[in-house]
Amino acid sequence: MPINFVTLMRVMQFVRLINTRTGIVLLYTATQIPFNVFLIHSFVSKIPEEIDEAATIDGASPLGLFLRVVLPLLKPVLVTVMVLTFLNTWNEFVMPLYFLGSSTKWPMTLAVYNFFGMYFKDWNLVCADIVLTSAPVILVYLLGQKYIVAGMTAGAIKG
Amino acid sequence: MNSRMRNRRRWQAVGVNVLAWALSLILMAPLLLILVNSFKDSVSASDMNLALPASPQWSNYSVVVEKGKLGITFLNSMLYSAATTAGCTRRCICSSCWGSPCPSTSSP
Amino acid sequence: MNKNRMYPTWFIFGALLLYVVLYVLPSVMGIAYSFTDWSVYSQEVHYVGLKNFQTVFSADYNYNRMLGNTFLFTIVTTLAKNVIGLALAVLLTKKVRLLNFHRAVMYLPCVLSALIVGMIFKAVLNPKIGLLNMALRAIGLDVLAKNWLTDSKIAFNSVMAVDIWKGMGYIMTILIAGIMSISPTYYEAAEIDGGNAWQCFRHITLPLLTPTLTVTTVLNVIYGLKVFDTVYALTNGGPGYATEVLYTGVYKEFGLGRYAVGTTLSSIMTVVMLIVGYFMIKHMVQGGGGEA
Repeated sequence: MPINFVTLMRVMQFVRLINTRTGIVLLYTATQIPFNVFLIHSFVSKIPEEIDEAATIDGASPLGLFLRVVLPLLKPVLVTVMVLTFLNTWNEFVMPLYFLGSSTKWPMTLAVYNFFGMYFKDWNLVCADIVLTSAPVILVYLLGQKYIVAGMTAGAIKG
Repeated sequence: MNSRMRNRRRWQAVGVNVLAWALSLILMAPLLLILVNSFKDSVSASDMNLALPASPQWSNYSVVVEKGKLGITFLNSMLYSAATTAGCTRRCICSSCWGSPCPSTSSP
Repeated sequence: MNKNRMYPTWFIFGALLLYVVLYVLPSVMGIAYSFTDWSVYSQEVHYVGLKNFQTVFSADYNYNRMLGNTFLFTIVTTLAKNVIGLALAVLLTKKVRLLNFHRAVMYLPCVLSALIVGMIFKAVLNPKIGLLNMALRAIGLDVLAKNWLTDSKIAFNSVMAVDIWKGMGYIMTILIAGIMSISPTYYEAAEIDGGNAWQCFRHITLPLLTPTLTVTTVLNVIYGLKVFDTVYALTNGGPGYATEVLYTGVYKEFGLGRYAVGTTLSSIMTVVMLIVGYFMIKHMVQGGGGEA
């Protein structure tokens, strides 16, 4: 579902989250929940109940059971979720564009665009800025490539 | 007949490799362009070609960090990405388990 | 006995609260505000009926072009990304040296921010110093060297081309996984029967890949309708209104303080997406039923 930015601004004003770092984080969280829940849920639903039952019989407490049995089983999909969320958030700039007025709160992507506007004659500086802004995502991509592909295909192939 | 087929196979393999390289290079060209030019001085970067820089200008990077206020924006980006990743993952784990059978005898 | 016990309901509250307040609520409010004269100047909001919709759909303004561009963008990029992505996927499931390197390179544009991609291509498509025009001149095709982003006739094509460059690796990666899941026995059988590469593709790969292609198409359509970032970064709707799409329109209305019109445009998109989503879910339910 698309986001209605105009009325979202109204909501953000109402809950006093506009132009705050907390607000941006919550917005990003909200927009990325659906896909990630979809991903994790397909994993959770495949955990056989017998594992749970066996652990219960062994006398594990519910919370301990969740932390020690269920979470480790979810580890691959959780890494995927974390990598994708990180990349998406790093690359996103539309939310700050609408909801962060002060440039001191801007993320790198928006700052580099602003820099481009000011120094468009100095291509070497613009290029250096682009390289620095992209370096983290490329690093995360190279480290987490396997998990990105896993997440995408899990989402797509199973439909 | 057999050798001709083998010959054809070999040419096909070469062709596939060449094609893959050509496509990769075309796709990478814009990215290489940025990387190469980030090391040039202002004059030689003004026509943005793929020629290698005469001498790498590492100072570009320090200039950019200072002028573009990259310190604070980097921290902002890091904060947003890390906090969102943590918050989203935690909330999603919780939500994803909802609706699935829970083995506990008392609620956690 | 324990089996029917569920995880406690409060598990979902955090996520649900955020989702409803920051996602669902604005959309619902948006539809309500579409019938008002809400703007940055108005102290109170009045009901104005269908006036905003009349404005958006009337021929006097550039809104028609926005809608047209959005649909054009969606159709063209979806088709092109699927076709190119499929070709790349077929190529990169063959025996190629440094296979993972090539795959990684072709996926790389997808992990870059659209804003970064936009800036990169502002450099590449620059009429004077841009790499593309220089390459064209170097091989003697001066006639083809154009003002890629500032000529209103071709600017939108350039925008679409950049988006295809950025997005085709994504489609390729999904399709590679799809092709790899096809059992090799089909191809072995085809080889025994003496089928050539094209016949293999036509009669094995393509039919068995149809479900995956459906998914990539749906993903692309949703993405295409929502597109904002690439267009904003490259041309911001210009020159004139030549590359304006729906969401750059919303952003402009927002900037001008004409909130009601912006909301109306957004709401139109919400409705379109709900229709697309309805057919998507319906299709997937049918598909799932067929497999089971």
